[in-house]
Parts: sequence; C-alpha cells; structure tokens
Amino acid sequence: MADQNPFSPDQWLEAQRQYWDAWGRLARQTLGASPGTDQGTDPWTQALEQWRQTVAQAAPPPVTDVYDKLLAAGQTYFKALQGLGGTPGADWGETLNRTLESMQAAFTQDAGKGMRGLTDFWQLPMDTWQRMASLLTPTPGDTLRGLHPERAAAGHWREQLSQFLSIPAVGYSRESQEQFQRLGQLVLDYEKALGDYNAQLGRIGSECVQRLQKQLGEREEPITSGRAFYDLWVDTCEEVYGEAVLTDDYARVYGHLVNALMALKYRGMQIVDEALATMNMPAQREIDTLQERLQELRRQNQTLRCSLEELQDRMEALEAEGHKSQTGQASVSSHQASSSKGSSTKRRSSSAKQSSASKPSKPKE
Amino acid sequence: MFPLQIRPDQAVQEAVDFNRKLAHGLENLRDIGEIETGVTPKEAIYREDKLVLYRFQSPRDKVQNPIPVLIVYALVNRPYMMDLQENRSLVQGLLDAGLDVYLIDWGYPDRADRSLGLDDYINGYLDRCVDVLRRRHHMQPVNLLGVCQGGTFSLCYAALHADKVRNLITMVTPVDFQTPDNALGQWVRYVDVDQMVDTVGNVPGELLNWTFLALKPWRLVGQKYLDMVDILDDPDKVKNFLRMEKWIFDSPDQAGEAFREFIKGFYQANGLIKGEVEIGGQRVDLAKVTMPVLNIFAEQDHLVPPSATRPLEGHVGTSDYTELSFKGGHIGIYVSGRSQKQVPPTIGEWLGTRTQEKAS
Repeated sequence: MADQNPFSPDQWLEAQRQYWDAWGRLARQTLGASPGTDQGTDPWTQALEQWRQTVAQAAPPPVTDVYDKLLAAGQTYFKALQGLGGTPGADWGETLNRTLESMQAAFTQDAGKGMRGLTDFWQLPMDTWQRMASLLTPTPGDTLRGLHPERAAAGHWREQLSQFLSIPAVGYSRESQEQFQRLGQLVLDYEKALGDYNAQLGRIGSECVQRLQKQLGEREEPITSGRAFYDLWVDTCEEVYGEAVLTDDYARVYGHLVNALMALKYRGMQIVDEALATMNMPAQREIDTLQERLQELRRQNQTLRCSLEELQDRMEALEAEGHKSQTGQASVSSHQASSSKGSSTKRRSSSAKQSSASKPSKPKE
Repeated sequence: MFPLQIRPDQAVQEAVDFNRKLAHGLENLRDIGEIETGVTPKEAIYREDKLVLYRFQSPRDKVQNPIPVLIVYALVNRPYMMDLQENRSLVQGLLDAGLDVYLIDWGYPDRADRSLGLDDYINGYLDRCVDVLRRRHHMQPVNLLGVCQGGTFSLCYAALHADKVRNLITMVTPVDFQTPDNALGQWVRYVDVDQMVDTVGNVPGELLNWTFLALKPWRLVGQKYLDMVDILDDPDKVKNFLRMEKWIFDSPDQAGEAFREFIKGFYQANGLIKGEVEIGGQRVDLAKVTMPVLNIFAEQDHLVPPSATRPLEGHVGTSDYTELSFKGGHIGIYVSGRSQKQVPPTIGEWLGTRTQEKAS
C-alpha cells in the first residue's frame, strides 16, 4: 500500500526527483528566453507547489502558514538566481550582463509597465502595498489588484473616460448618478496614483541594477555561492530603496497613493450608507456619532467621579482636622482657643489642599 | 576577474541543500507546539475597559527599590516583548536589579473604542494606573519607563503631571519626528490622516505591520525566511524565531482618534519639540519635565533613529539628564543578549542612585 502520509520522505523524494528532472531539462536548453522574465512553468516552483499542496491538507494551520512563507522566500530566491542565469552550463558572464540589461529595460519602461514581467524578487515592495490595500477592500482578496496602473499613464482612454464621467447628471436619479460618476473618477484617480507609485518603484529598481553592477565591478573577491550573491543583491536593493524612500518625491507619490485609496473607499462607504438609510438600517456615520457621544459621556463621568472623590477626601481631611482641633481645645484655656481659631481655619484649608493633592484618587481596582 | 564564479554543480548542490533543510525542518515545525510568550509570573491588579495593569512577581531574595517602576508600552504591538522568554526578558532583568515592576497592557481596541483619544489614554488610563500604584505604595510619585510610543506618552504625562513622576526613563522614544533619516515621518507627511481615520475608523494593525515591513521589503519579506531555513534543524532557534514572528504580526488595531491625533500632532506637525501638542486642552511643555531623565536609544534603530530621540536633552527642563546608547536595533534593545547584560542593570543603578540621593 502506498504511503499516504504527506510528511513522508517518499513524497518529498518524488518532489525532488521531479525537480531534478526539470532542472536537467533546463540545463539542456539553450538560454533562448529572456532570463529576467517570470517563468510560469518554473520546475522548482511546480515541484514545491505540488508538495506544499499535499502537506497543506494534513498540517495544522500555523505550520502551513510558516511553511508558506518559507517556500515563498525560497521560490523568490531560486527564481531570482535562475533569472540571473543560474542554470547549469550557462555562461555566467554573458547571462548576467544580458539579464541586468533586460531588467534595466523593464524598469525604465513607462510607468513601470515592464515590472509586471519581472521576477517575484522585484515585486516585493509593490506586493507589500497590494497587501495593505487589500486589507481595506470589502471583497475577499484584492479587487483593486486587477487594476493596470500602467494603462493609466498610457493612451488617451483614461482622459476620455474621465470626460465621460464628468457629463452632468440630469433627471430624477441625478444624485445617485453623480455619486457613481464620482466613484468612477476615484477609481481612475487611484489607478493613476498606483501607476505613479509603480513608476517610482521602477526607477528604484533601475538604480538597484546599476548599483549592483557597480558593486560587482568593484569587488576584489569573487562570489562563489548563490546565497552570497542573493545577499549582496538584497543589501544593494535595501540600500537604494532606503535612500529613495526618504526623498520628498517618494513621500508625495506615496501620500497621493494612500489618499487616493482612502478617497475611493470613503466614497464606497457613503454609497453603502445611503443604501442602508433607505432600508431604515443604521449607517456607519450614525454609529460614529453614537460612539463619540458615548465616549464624551464616559469622560464626563470620569471627571465627575474624580471631583467627587476629591471632595470626599477634603471632607475627610476637614473632619480629621476638626476632630484634632476639638481635642486640642480641651487642653488649653478658653481665651487661647478663641484667639487661635483664625489660624486653625487657615491651617485646615492649607492642609486640606495638600491632602487632596497628595492623596491619589481611587480608581476602581 | 569576473565577479561571479558559481560552478553549476555548486548551484545545484545549494538547491538540494535548501530542499533538504526545508524537508527536515517541517518535522521540527510540526513538533514545535504552542509558542509561549510572557514568562515571568504576574498578577493583574487593576482593570479598566480593555486595559490591564500587571505587577510582576519579584524574587524574594532581592533588596527592593521602594519606588515602583511602571512600564508604559506603545499602543502598537503587544507588551509581552518586554518579557518575551526566559533568557530574553527585560522585565526579568529589572526584577533582578531590585525593582518593583508594573506594566500596562492596553489590550486590543475594537470598533467601540474608536473615539478614544490621547487625552483618554494619557490623562485617563495612564493617570489612573499611576494613581493605583501611588495608593498601593502610600507615597507620592512613581518611576515611569516609557517604551517607543509609550515613551512619548510618558513624556507627555510627565510634563502634564510632573508631581506624580519621580524619575523618567524613555526607551527608543521618538521626540523629533521629522529628522531626515526617519522614513515613517517622511511617509506620513502627505497622507490625509483625517480622511484615513474617517474612512477606516480604527486603523488596522495589519496595515501598520505592512507599513513596517515596507521599510525593508527585501530583508523582512524575503531574506529573513531564507535565514530561517538555515536554522530549521535547531528546535530552540526555530522557537525563538517563531516567537518573534508571533510578536511582529500580533498588532492591535489603533483607536482611530488617538491615531489621528498622534500622526497629525506629533509626526506631521512635529508638535512635541515645538511645544504645540495639546492633550485634554493642556499644552505639553517639555520644559516641565523637571524630574531626572534617562534616555535610552539604539544606535541602529530604523524605526526610531537616534536622531529622533536624542534631541530630548535640549527640550526637557531637568538638570539631571542621562543618555544610554545601545549598540543594536529597535528590537535588539529588548531581547538581545547584550541588552540583557547592559540595559536593566543600568536602569537599576540609575534609579538606585536617585532613590538614595532623595532619601539622604
């Protein structure tokens, strides 16, 4: 009977065998395809993905989560190296130069258009943004990921659509029509902002390649492992990216991107709110108002409680002081007691003040 | 010389080694069990809404500094980073240094908390926690230890309630939010925070996670996991890694109003050092921070660079200002081996000296 355990080494060895076979096929191929392009049929990815799917059926979620991350990192790593010509038998020098040139070309295309074809390695900054954006969309996954920012910067269709969306609404459904027109405009604005951001990342990518070439040229010791090369690549990218994201230019593009996304989501929320209102259901802005009022009441309640406790403390202090002075009066002559009354009152108020400042209020423990 | 000299057989061997580590590592991952954090015994002494004030159990054989220390952690991420694991616990180090340690856990705000503002956090929750301590210890002021954003809160609190703070310690605390090397400060510059909070209500913790990852996307989203593959055969190291991973992604949502006020007032307006921040209708004037201050910062901090924290010296009103420079990063300052040896003992000594001076 075949071993059904997905953690079995047999499964893994089979995946290995597939990987080796595929690797061998690659080795026999000439380097015809552009090495910088994302290879959807990458044998490494295929073999690992197949195995991952088997494991995912049996492993507990925390383990598969971590494993997914490890595999994703591994896939990115090996794709990056394969993209650079890490295929057995390749002429590294020629391949490296050709790869870097093709990357350079991809990065310098309009609005980062060519970046879609680059390996996962270069997609990490954009991927990070896409994940943030997907958090803010109501549908599963990232609907906005379907946008093609490069289109926003190219051609006249955007302008034409924008003009179309600007046609004044008329008639009975005028308000509703205007709302959806505005929503359409905001989608276009977001697409444009995403295009600008993509272009910004493209410029950073281009600078990364140039810096990497420079650093390779200046090296005294050769790099003898894929991992060492990958680490150098990461260091270079982080260095360039770290400089670029501190510029005012980047801050403006990033700010515009966030604002465009929020404006789009806010408009969508308003449309939903109005639909809820027609059904006599509570809308978000009404809940917000209630929350604010409730919080204000809680603040007032706390303030009153503190005042009450302070008054209580003062009362207690006054009572204690009064009791003390009564006891004192019994032991001194009546004329002395009479003459000290004023100063006693004075002392009391000063003492009460001190007591109130020094004694902390009583939170509910 | 051609800079790349990777032989094909070496490249293949690397791939095979990677696969092997990954396959064997899965076994370790499966057996790793629950990832535990927060190791030092503690008791909850006060609760309010989602906030819990804890007191850590002190070793019986230690001579205690009579003045308690209240750790004020940031709203971002969870405070168990202060007590991550047995051999990496700042709290444990402080207890060993003879301190009586309390900590505020702000909890996880939900949508009902979106109207909580900085006034509620600083003049409300924090002030009431300080009062709890003062009542317990029958005395006046307490020691505050503010961490990161919690340090900024502590500074505001100390300026507004100077009579309740005996000594102030700030760790990796931003003060100047617009230094040229502060990426976070740069990124929020043109963000319309009003629109953002009006749109999302509470700011999702995940959004902050991704923002932090975007500071170093290649290293934090890619390379870090390759490094992990190298340690997969060591269960202890894997556990340490996963513990840290758990903390990184365990980010509470941010109460909308507090986030709005913090980003606008502190980051965009840089109001703390300009003396323009107002909390609960009162201006925060750092010159009113007249108690002794120990400012601890990390030299390689990419979230709160030294340039963001060191200007504190020029703005506080105290004549007793001390700096401790730590060789490490924003996370290393809590959990690295070097930190355990350096940071808590320094805090203990610094507080000890000031407690004795006051007593004599």
